[in-house]
Amino acid sequence: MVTTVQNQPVFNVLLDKTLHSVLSPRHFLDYSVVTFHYGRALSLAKSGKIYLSGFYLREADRLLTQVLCPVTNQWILIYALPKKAFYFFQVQDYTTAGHLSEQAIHLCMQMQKSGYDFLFHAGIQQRFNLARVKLNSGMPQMGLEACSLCLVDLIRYVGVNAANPDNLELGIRNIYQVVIKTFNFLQKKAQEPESCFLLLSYFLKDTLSLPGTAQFSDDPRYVEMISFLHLFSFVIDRDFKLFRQTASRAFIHDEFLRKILQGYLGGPAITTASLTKL
Amino acid sequence: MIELKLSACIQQLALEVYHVESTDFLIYSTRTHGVLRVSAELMKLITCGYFTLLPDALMVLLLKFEIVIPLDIVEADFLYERTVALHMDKLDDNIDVKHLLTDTELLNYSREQLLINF
Repeated sequence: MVTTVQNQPVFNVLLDKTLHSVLSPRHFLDYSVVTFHYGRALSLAKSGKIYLSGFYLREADRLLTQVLCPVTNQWILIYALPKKAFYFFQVQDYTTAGHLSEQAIHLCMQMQKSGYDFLFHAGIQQRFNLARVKLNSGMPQMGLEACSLCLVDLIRYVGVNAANPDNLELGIRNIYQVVIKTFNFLQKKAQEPESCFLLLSYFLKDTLSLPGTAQFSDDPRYVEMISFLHLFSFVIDRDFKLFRQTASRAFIHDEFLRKILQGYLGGPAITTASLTKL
Repeated sequence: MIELKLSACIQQLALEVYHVESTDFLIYSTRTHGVLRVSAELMKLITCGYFTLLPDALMVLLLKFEIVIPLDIVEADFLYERTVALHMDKLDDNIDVKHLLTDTELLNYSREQLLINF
């Protein structure tokens, strides 16, 4: 069974469990207060309120200096560094954003080695953020390579840990996020979107041609994800002939994923019936 | 360790019910316009400052509505600076003021200088 509590993401549930076991109630309160301020800074940065976000970020930084317990500090940093990186990404300070993402990756790897396996997924998200910084700072090739490496590592990790439902759930969720976010990002920001799409398609196919990728797990969600990635690579390629051929055999029950494909095709909504017709 | 306190900008209202001994409380935060209903037991813990004994979800709400704030915050200054930041964002929607005031510059500005700028 996948760990879930009231539809909370698996990662949050695992993190919550770990924090309650590692931190005392007093330190957990410190963690809650500081991370709350970083969380607010992030949501404000997302909604474009940069000055207000900066204000809360400075407030959170000030509170962080009052946390003297090194363990609490480390867990707060795991939460805070990505948020700070996003703020600097939004204000187009890509050097600081990249530097903070690198720090976050390093910290996640360190904690993963200390036995907190689920932080692999947080590390992957930071690597993706770093790739996004590179994509945005005029290094699309390097950024896409980093995205592709994220995907390869994720699929390998999911394959090795397929027996653990939490890992499978987190891995699949992360794979979708990396692919869809990269695509959306390229569509909005890339100066030469066509060449970027070609590169992305190449990297997707490269990932999917990894030996044994399709057989890593027979979980229906994993099979669905692999089908989706295949279809998506054809959509990016604008290779509608191959898309139609593959779509007829596709295994996509998820409404949301079908809508994504439909959105990029610009046609009528794809249903299981229409996929069979294709 | 971060010490916490109850914000000065809250109103407490006891929801008294005829023939019922323990009453619930409404807490209204004038800072965020958030309203929270808590039991008398929890209200006692909040007013006595036993924040570690509160459920996590309630603690998040207390922070979100800014009913509980860090002890060393001077509320008037905090609210002033937050309002300035909010106005800067509103200005930013219409005029590109980023080149006029960067974040670091904004930090170094005194209240008077900022007021002159507005």
